[in-house]
Amino acid sequence: MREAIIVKGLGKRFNRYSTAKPHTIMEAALSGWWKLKPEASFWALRNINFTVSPGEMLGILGKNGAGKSTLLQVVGGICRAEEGSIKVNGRIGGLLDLGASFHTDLTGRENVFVGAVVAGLTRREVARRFDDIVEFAELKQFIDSPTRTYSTGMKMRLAFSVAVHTDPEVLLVDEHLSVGDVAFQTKCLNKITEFKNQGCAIVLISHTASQIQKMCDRALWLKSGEIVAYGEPEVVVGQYLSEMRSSTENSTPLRAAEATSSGSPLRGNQNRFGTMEVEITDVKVSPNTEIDSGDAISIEIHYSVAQEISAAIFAVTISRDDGQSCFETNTNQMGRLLPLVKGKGKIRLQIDRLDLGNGQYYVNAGVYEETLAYAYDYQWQVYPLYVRSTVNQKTILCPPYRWEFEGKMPLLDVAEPGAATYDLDKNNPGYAKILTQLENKQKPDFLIIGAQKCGTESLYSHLENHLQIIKEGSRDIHFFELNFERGVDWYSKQLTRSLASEKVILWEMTSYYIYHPLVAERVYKCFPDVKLIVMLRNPVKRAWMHYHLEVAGGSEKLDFEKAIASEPDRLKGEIEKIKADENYYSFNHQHYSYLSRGIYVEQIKNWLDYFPREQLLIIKSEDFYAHTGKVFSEVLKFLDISENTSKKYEINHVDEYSQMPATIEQELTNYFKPYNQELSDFLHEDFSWS
Amino acid sequence: MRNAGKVAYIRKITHFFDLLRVLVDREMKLLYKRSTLGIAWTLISPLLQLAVFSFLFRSVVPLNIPKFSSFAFSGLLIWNWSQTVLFKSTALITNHKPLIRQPNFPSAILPIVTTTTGLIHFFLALPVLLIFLAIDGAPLNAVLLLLPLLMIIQFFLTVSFAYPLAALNVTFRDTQHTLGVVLQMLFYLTPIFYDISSVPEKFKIFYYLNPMVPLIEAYRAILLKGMQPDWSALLILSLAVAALLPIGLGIFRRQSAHFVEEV
Repeated sequence: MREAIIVKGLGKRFNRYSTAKPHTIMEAALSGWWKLKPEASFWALRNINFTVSPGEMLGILGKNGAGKSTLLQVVGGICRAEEGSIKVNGRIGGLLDLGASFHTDLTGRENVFVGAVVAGLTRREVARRFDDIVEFAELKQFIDSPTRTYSTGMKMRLAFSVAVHTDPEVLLVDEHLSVGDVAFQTKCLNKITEFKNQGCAIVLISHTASQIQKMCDRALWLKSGEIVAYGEPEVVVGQYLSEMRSSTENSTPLRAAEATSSGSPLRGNQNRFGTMEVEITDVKVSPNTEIDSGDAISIEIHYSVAQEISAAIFAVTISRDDGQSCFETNTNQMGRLLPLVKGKGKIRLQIDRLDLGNGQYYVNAGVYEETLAYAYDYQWQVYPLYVRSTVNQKTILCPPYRWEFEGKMPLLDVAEPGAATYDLDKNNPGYAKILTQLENKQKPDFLIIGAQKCGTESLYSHLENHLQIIKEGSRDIHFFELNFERGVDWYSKQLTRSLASEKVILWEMTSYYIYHPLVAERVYKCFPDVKLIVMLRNPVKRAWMHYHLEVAGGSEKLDFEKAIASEPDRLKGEIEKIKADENYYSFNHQHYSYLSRGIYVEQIKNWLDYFPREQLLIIKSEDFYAHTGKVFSEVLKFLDISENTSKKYEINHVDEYSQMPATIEQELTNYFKPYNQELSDFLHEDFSWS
Repeated sequence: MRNAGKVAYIRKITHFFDLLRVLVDREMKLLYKRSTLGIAWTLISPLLQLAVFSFLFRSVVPLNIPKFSSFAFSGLLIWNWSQTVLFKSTALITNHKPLIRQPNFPSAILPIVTTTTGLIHFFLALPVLLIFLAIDGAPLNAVLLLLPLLMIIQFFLTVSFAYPLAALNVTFRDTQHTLGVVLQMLFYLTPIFYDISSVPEKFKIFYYLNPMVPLIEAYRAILLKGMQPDWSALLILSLAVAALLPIGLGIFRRQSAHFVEEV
């Protein structure tokens, strides 16, 4: 592809004349012509090489006087280079000195013609585009008024519009595009992007490093007329910014370390930079230097000013301890420069919520000169901030979030069991009998159906210990609610196969079954004779444990009080959807049902609509933990398993949970009371948990 | 491919004339935008000068030149065109700074624009001159058709001088003042209100070094006497212009690289 701009070895020399250089013919005649010769010369640009392809945007960075504008002028053919070659293929359009060529006494219309013909269009071409130009500039009703009546913004708009309607193939853009209001600026930037997409090569000068990083494909950093860096914008901009920072560091006066309220001493050029014309005397982070993710914080900067300063910019960044900046803002962004009077003052930044991930951070505060060219005082990694978050992974952000799943639940990743092979002792007298059972038996003998966090895991372990496991099945098969379409054949392969005496027993445990509205019916339809074991715990405790489970799993970001308060919202319509669509999976129903799962009476009633009471064993978890042996015997009895092999079992470790706040506990106890009462009445057994 | 090149070339020519046209148009508009008398000003100034000359050289110091009104007015119009252009050209670059800062703006067009504007004013004054000629009983015959030729020669002569002057003013800001003095002197040293025949023979050689002299003589031969001009003098002048124009343009071109830095 033909490059749009090729610059090779470019050098632009400026002459410096003696102060005695004659400015008039008279002086020259009197003082002698030799004084017209330049005294010295310097290179404003030297050894500049770059290319810009069609459709590419090059950003030029550099401080004032680095040669940015001169480079643009040389590329635009406005002035000539002494060295090297510049090749520009295509028509050059310039957004330089916008509106300067407009004569104030002429009307907008007249100026458009002059401007567009000067830019390279013929009169006929201008006439054809005239309406578009005026429309883009949004100046239809003013076009026949003299431009002296225009505001600066209007003039700029018209000039921009002329410039973009001249079909440039190479576009030179000077400085920030401060053309008119924000809406028009956006329009201009969009137009420039559009040109780029149409294959226009663009060279853009900007003070704003971020703008270059955002818009350009390449960046070039000029310093005293020479290229410091040329390449990927991220890299060049990064280098540029770090140099800007270190040049601030170099101008920091040396002084002894000072103590701060945070405890870390301030050391010039290590964690404190600036000229000290304004000093930051303290930075207070409230309410605390240790917060929970999502909390509000306020950062108060105390400063003292030695000499009145016409305009300053305060900036705050929050960075990780590895220096990664997570948040950055300054007072300039609110569009105001702050004049500072001599003396002391305070400025406060209020952050409504800080959704940072878990870890150590620092609040960095700075006060800068009005163009951000250098810092008066910048204190870096002095004021610590610790953010606690429930998410333990390395992450910067931790905004409030939750997963919402709609549509069909993908099949759980359960390994398909291979052909049944059983490691049985062939010398066992009942071997043949057992093998026959294993080969023929498909139906589960019993299911542990819940409820969640009510000790079912414990019971499961006891059963595993008591029965001889021939083949361990999958835990939490979730067949009847989430994997039902896989079919009964798949299901029976997943079941745990175990042996009591010579009897083969198939079973499983999924604690979501009891709560899921479709399961009772499905179980009944598939296995009407199956025995069901239910364990119930005090629903207040259950909710608390359930909440901690979700927090640990990363699904819950709210605190307990908010979580239970938002439960009605989260579950709204979910049961209806589950019932309406067999394939619907409700994440919220499974995970955010802290209270709803504790309303046992509704669930038990649903199951007893299908199954006779004798087929259902209901155990109170509290009883199970208090009198394990006795309750377990009841379970075995219920399952028609002999207790002969019964051993003593130790109680499984129960997770330590922090204490629920008493007020909430009371509230929940009251909440569940009527439901518990109803359950007690229904089952003629005490489930009041009081 | 050749066709495409031809199209591009034609477009370039069209664009040059379009640019000349909008810039002349702009200059004309700016001259008269805020004046009620408008274009009439171009006539009032030479007419006033003519009135003064008529009084001086008919009543105070009688010169006894036949058809004096036509004689002096023609001289004034011809001289004014070149003088105005040269005077303005010294300020061209400084006055058109925003234009020369546009990418690829051909700043060499600016002296041409100013000269063209002067030509238009010259044209606008021609009817008045013709009235004077008619009143004075000038022959007004077919040689008048030679006028455009003289105008072309004067046009390029003026442009040739406008180029270096425009360039010079960038280095020396007093060019305009100095030029004002020089032009004033030249005004009197050019036979505008007097006849070259009254200049003593020993000074005549200096007069013929002044390119305006053969030009004015030729104009007057055509306008006042209805005679063919002195072709040999015109040929020498044309050759001189053909040599001066590239030199002037060369100086301008060389300097133009520094316009942006200097202004």
